[in-house]
Amino acid sequence: MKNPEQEQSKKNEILAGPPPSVLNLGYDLNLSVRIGSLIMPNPVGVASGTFGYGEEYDELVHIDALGALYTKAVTLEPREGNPPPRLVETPMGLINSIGLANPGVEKFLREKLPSLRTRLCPIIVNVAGSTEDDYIQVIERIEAHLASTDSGRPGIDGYEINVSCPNVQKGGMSFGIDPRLVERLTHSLRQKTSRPLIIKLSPNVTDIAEIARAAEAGGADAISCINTVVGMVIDTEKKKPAIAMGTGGLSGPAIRPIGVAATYKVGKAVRIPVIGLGGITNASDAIQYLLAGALAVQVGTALFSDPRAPLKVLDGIIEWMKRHSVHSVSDIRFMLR
Amino acid sequence: MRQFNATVAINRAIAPDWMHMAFEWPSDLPAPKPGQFFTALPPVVELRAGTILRRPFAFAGFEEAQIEKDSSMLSRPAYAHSIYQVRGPGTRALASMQPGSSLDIIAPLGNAFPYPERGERAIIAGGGIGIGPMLFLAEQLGAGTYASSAILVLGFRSALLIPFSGSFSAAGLPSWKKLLEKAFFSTDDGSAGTPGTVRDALEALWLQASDLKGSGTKNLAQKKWHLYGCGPGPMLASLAQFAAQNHMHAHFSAEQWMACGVGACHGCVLPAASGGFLRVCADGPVFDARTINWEANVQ
Repeated sequence: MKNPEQEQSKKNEILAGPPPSVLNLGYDLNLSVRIGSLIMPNPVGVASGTFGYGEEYDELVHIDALGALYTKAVTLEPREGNPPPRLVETPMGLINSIGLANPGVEKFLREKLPSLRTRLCPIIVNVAGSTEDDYIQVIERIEAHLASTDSGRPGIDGYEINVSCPNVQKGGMSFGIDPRLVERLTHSLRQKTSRPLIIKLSPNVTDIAEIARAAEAGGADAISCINTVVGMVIDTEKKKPAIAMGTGGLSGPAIRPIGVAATYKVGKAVRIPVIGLGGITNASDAIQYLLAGALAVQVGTALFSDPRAPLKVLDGIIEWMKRHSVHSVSDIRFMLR
Repeated sequence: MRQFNATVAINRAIAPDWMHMAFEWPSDLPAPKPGQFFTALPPVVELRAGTILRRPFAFAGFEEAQIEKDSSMLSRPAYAHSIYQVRGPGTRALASMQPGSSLDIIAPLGNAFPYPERGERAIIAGGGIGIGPMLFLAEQLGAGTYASSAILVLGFRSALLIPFSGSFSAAGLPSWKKLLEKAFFSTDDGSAGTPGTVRDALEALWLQASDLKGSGTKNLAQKKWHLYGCGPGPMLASLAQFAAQNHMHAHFSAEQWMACGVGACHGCVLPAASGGFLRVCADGPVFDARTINWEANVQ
């Protein structure tokens, strides 16, 4: 019998090693970050919903070099998503209303997991649902599947719980605005998995710190902050909204200051790590999040202008660390003056 | 597919607000096929424009590299061609690029038009800026007169908007101009070709073909039609209806607002005829006309 914890720590040792580009620097840089029991080799991941399940970007991005791959949301049942148009570009931003289109957990395990298992970077599965039971069943199903496949990499190193999608009629968002629901949901999911549990929060709330504390109390290993900001564009000639659903989620550089402020607030409110995202396009953007209190970051919408953005961000962080004589990336969050 | 920095070779107007762009194609990258597209990142030229997304464009032509006879040296690189309409800040920024400048490209993306089946005649219909990929397809299929296999039917709002005419006659690829010489036209205002839509021009040709049936000469009716189309949503909805009524194969290249361009974000979908949605970038952009609910897409 294999001991899953031993397996995990052995894998973490491998993952914790510096990526190839850092080996020749002659510097003693520690880029790895710890989220619960997982050690990510570097702090730069790709955000859920912008990177599919990885395969789509295989020919364009050196995926193994990423700090983490956060998958497109997985729900219990398949979802077709919302009618088009689903996208509209705004000044330095993008509004989307995809509606969590995904193949559902069964098809995910059958068709998407095999390629995820071949990745060398940590894989975080983003989970969404309409009811508490939906979330529980997705994680139960995934854990049962992983327990029944005994060899090789699990292909799933943690979960990011989407309690903040603004684009589904029911659920998602309704969890994310109520601290009691967030705590209860986190607590329930905590019973189902020992893998890292990351709660992804919405900025569309009165006090994001309160929700973050609730997730921490429920047993979360980390907080992702932020999901998209509710937004709307109206076509003045057609006199109707630019996207079919009317409102959608705004992402991109337009929301970066909102995300940095939210990270700053949440970072002060909880002891668990914060993963910052929202409008990160270059290293300076990412370092703002790290200085605001984030341990790691995610790059999302910037992929749509340049698929190389995440690894450029990582290179820029390394360059900044050298210039500022910072040896461990996890120290940056304590450096804000 | 690959992301690369391409040198812009041509970027000039071919009609009011229409541009022809050509850029150098990497010698070790497979040539694009008609129907496929690329995305380009508009340069930041207007600070207040604030665009962040790449823009998708169909290929409108491709020129192979020329290799020196007695060496393996390239005497001329390969060029990819496209035509695009200046519609907003992104395309305005692209239109301002000078030959010699560098453009961030991801290509080739999406699927291509299938070839006509044995015994089929390709009828290639383009509307407005949608003529780009149709010129590329027509060139590959050898469009010309009735005697050759493919027929090109192009629709415009007015004769004034037909590319390479008037003051724009020096612009564009010679092969495109040859194709235009042999093409059938429709114009909304009746200033050239059949008055009305591309559908109207096709109906006229179809009627002609039916009249000629059984005459024994080499004519339109000898072969089953395979309709290829690209153009505005209402045009494709109308052509889908035409193809269904007359029991012909039809493949259309579709357009939708796009973010990633590689199938990851599910932003650029169209309603599928069987329910659900299909991604233009990864499931298309070329679809069998029967697989898309074109009517729902127009509403």
